[in-house]
Amino acid sequence: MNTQRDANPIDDLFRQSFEALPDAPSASGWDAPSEHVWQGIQTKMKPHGSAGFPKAWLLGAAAIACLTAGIWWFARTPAPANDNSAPVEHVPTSTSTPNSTTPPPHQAQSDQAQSQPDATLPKAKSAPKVVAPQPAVSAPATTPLTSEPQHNKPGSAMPLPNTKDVPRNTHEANGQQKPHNTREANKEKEKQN
Amino acid sequence: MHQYSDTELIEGVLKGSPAHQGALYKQYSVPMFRVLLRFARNRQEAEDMLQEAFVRVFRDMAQFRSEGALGAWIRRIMVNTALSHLRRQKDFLRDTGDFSPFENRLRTDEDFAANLDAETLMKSLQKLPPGYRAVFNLYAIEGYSHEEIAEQLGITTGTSKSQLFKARDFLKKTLDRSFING
Repeated sequence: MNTQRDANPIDDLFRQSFEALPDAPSASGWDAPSEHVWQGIQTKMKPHGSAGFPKAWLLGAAAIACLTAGIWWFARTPAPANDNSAPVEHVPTSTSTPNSTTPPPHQAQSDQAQSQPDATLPKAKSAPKVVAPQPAVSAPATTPLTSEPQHNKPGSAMPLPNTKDVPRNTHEANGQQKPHNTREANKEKEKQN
Repeated sequence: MHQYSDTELIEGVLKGSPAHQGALYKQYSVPMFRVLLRFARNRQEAEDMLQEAFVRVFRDMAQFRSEGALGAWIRRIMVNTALSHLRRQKDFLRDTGDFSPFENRLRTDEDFAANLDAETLMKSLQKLPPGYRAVFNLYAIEGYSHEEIAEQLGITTGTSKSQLFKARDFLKKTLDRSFING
């Protein structure tokens, strides 16, 4: 402390007045703090368990908000245009059923086609989608390999891996072309007769 | 409530005992509230400071060195809390007020001592601008030097001296006015 302190009656008056106060608060209560001060201290001194609840609640709310925003953002992002237009290379499946009829001319290449994608098929600019070879099961051998697979039609879904390529009707199953309407069907019948 | 010694209070607070916290608060809240009333603008601000300071007392009790008095350590925390409140006010050194109409009506020191009680003195202190009040409290009552005040408040010693001079002048005029009105 500075020893060269300038004495001043105002300083002495205030210091002596405050030092002379008794320990007990005055009758008017001007120097006693309100009850809510102690209540506030007790609240702040409580264990972190209850005090941490609002923080945990806020963190949870923030996480939910982030998740919702992320989902919304991914949902509104348009898919790349070439995803739908890119043709899917279809590797024809080989059929090893003993009842198979005369194979088409390029049936012999089917084994090669299984391992190499058909070079004549158009390729997408992006990475070509190669359908995994299907296990030889039910595809009729008479089905021409050049015919367009059903799932290559616009809007048709890609077959799931390890699913059977089943003919849609008896015409397909027999290797015949399904007549478009009853008139064509009648004509075919007449021709057959 | 059971009367604890300072050592018992310290040990109890260190263990987190609510009973010891309550006893310590009961023992020291009134004198410490008086200290904070001198630094504050009003009662509400002093209560805010008291709450903040006692939370610091309970949380920092492990830092207390037993060779000093517990009351002096708590009082230091009170003053530091008051000063941190003051530092948050950017313009705490701003000058206000002019009591020139009462300049020629100053009374003698004996008059002051005989007629002014502590509550009146406290109210006159609270009327001071924040900078005057802090410097006057630190110098005249807490016993700080101008160098210490300058370091605590981030001002020069010259500013501290001028603030003290103005504070004394301001208090004289304020108290004279309260004499006239009272």
